[in-house]
Amino acid sequence: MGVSTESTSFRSGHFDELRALAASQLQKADKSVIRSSWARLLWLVPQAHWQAAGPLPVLIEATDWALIESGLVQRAQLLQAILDDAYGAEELTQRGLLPQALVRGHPGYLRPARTSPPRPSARLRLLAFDLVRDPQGHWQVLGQQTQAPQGLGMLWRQRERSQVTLASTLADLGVRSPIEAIAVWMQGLRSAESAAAELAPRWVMLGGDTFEKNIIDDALAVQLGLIPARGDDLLIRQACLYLKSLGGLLPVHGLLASLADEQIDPLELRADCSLGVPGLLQALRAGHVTISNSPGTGFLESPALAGFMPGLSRALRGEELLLPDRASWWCGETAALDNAGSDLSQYSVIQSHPNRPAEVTDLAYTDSLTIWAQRLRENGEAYTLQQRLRPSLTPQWEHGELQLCPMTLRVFAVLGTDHRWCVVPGALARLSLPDGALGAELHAEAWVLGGSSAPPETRVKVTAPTPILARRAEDMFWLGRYLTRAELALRATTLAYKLIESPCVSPAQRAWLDSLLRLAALVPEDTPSALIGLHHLPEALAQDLQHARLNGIRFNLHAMAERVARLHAHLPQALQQGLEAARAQWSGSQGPWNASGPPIDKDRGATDRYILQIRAFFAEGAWHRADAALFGAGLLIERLSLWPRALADACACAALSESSTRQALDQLLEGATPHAGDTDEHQWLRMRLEFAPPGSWAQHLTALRQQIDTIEEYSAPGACLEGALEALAGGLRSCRASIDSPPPAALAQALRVLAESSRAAGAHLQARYFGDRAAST
Amino acid sequence: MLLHILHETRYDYRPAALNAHHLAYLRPLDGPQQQVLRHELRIDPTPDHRQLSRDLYDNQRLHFDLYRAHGHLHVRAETLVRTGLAQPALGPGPAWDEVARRYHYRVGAVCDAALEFAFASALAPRAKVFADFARPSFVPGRPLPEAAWDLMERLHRHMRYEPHSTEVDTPAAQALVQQRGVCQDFAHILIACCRSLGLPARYVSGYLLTDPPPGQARLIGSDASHAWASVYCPALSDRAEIDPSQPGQWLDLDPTNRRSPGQDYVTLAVGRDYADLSPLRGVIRGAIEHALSVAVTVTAWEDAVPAPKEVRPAS
Repeated sequence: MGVSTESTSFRSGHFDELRALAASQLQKADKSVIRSSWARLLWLVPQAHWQAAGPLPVLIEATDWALIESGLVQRAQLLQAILDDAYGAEELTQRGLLPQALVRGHPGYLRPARTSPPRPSARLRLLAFDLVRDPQGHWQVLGQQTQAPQGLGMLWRQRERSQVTLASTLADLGVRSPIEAIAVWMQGLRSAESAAAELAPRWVMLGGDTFEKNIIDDALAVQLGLIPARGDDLLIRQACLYLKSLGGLLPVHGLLASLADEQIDPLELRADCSLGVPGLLQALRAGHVTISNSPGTGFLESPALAGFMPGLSRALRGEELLLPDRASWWCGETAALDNAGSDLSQYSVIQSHPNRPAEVTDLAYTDSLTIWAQRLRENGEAYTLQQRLRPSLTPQWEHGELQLCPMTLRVFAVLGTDHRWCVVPGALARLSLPDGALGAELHAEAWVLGGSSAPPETRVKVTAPTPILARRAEDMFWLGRYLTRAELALRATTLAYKLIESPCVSPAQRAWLDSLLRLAALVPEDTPSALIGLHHLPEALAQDLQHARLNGIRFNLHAMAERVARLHAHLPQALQQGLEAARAQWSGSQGPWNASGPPIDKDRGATDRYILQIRAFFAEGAWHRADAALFGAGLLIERLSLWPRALADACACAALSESSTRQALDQLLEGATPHAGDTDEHQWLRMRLEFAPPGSWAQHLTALRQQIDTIEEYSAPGACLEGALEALAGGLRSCRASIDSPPPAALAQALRVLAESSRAAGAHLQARYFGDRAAST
Repeated sequence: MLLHILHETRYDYRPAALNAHHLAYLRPLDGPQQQVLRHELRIDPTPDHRQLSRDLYDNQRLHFDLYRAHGHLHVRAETLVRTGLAQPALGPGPAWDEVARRYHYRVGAVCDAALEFAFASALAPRAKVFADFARPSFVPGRPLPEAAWDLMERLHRHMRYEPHSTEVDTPAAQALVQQRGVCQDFAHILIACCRSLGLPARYVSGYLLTDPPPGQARLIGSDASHAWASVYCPALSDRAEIDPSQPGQWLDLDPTNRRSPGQDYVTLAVGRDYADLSPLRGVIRGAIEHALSVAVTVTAWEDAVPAPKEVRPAS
């Protein structure tokens, strides 16, 4: 092709095909949000510097790949051996082959991860390598990621997409599939030794702190049959690891951690980090759990290690490295510093311990070379010199034309059974734009050629059922409760304005309104009654919005949104926007009101409608039965607590005898009573409590029983909720009995008891299903 | 000397903690200079799980967990120790720059157990600010014990001891700049100074018998746990050269009190810095607020007090 004097990794012959592709479907298919965010996560480059993925895949010849493959397998074995030595006999440091400063002196060496006696095991199971090709066309290793290596999930995801959009191209070119290697990795994980493992060890993917990363990792986990979880979902009991599920505590034997090592156990490592599991290292030392990669591999990521790799390879394996490292000199070794010569300008200086506390890192790139030379002499151990790099160029389609971009590759090696390493065919390519602003980069998929043209299997077959996590169950339950509270608060607002505007509001109704606004947390409990009226209502509401008062509208909307996000519930776009719009609307200092006048009905109505739709979505959407039941239970418990209180207030204020109050209540509480205007107070109450479907409370109680029966099917045997439900039924019976026996104070009292029983039932349910229970048998 | 130590820690939680995982370093080390005659650790409420083990530096640590709701945690460690069993005799020692050179990496360099204490740790890092502070004491060729002692004296003059002037996680460099701190800061700074010159130094946590003000009785719980530093001196051969075949000595220095620890000191644990051996740490779930009170009482037991009959294993 002759596009450059420097070698390119582009194969001639396929150029026209790819250019045709680039111009058409590739370009439009690949501009998704996820694709632009993964690179940011992988290389920690600010998102602004990333553009959408390049449309051209990078092609890697089979001969090139064979070299990469053998070189990385050798390197993976070597790293495993170094690690076993560092946590075992420590001969490498004692013999001076590896400076102790780079092992025990590196913050990534974790003393609590040592076991006594040392257990040589597969500490590494997944490795990510960054490779670059020099202008002569030789591959070299830039570095390796051993702590929760990132990107394999992304690689898979991209390939799955390409498999859909570019199936024939992949087949025609004979692009190798990464799926088989990933299956080998999974076999390796499942065969991992663990003292406590049963026939089928349970593996969990422990997610990290980044939302986008978690989405990708979770997707990979689900496809691999691993359970995606967060630190909160796991706990340690008697030095064993368990998963909190609706079905009780489930023993966990393996953990695939996508957290940095120092985050995994706040008890023994970083105390300020809440993402991990306290006590996890105890379980690890006891041999009760396998963690991949095992904590404490961080020192292998040091760029300073590169200079010692050839010697280590000879000492440990008696062979030369097949793939060289980027030429590097650790400045802790005086001889190395002397050899580097006096002209520092031909090197990059980087830190030997990247995660050293900031206090000691006095890197300032503007400092003169003389200052740098002095610094390297004084505190050499902290720095490593690297030869400046000129990566080879690769064509990429950008700005409507082909450009030649410097490229690095991220390649993954996985451990299968019998300690055998396997390099995943395929890679993520990072490209710098030659004419772009500083740091402007894009990324592309790398395809490895030399496979068969048969369409590959796209999925690893997994049939393990996923348990329902207790955290998820709790979120579902509370979503139901918050939603009901928000609903009542909104309706109470509407009602309050209607009643206040109405010309004929009795003193009793006014009094009731006063209590209702307090119940819905629209005004603070301690507001004097005299202050509640038309003039003060907007002010009170504005205050709620400003301070997000506990249980106010804003608080509830916020709590709902939080649960929805945590559930990773992919709400239909309209609903998502609706919820966001509602939150925005109720977050300002005024809310949907202007200060002087009544609220705009239209806006209030819109919020109400969204809540209704969200309710329908969660109650009827394509959820797991148990999920829907938990949501339903939360909703019903909250209704049976809030509604009787609203009614009790009306009774206590003697406002119920007026038909306009009953009509107002019909608007407030769901399920209109037929002909409410025509019925008298007793009839109305009977309807409300007993008959009128679907809104009667008797029917609510029946539904709650059904929901709890459903939840019970999925939960571990335990204390029954029957007592709490019986108390609710009893409360409802006394309410009915009180309808016919005045004074109204007795009914009000019975209603309050009912409300209290419902709250108590909620607390029971919480303790029964979401508490930390002993392992189920 | 017989020293009796009562170390009580009490947490009160609001609302109750639902579960908790703790790690305690509360049993003093047995060594050539001190012998633990009795040690009893009482934990209330009774833990649901407890496991005793030794860490990398041979300190004894106790993991204990509580899996039930609890409104408080009370940990009471009572120890009887015989101290002053052997007085370390330290000669002039090797020149400090010889020691630093010995620990500087070169191909095939030997590596001993003290070496890792020459590296930075989170709370006692290497930095220019420490090297600059230390240098006037470390003139070329000066014997290490003498230079370290001089550093301790200068640090003692430079810093003001002021309770509550720093937090547990205040960086040593900040304490050095603000010229005040607690014993933990004094120790971390001295260690960081040595490390910044390439010398191994470690952190020692323990107790100190203090004298009550004249005419006053000793107040129960008025003491605190103490911390100091320890600098490594390699052994010398007959020809006054460093002899790697002989074990060296750790030279304990208490910069807070400008002295070397004697028989009124009890060593609890040694490590790279405070983070390796904080007496009691934990991760609790459920409680939003907690109140902490720690009381340490160190008393000298008179000879009249009968010595305990048996040596009991910790907890």
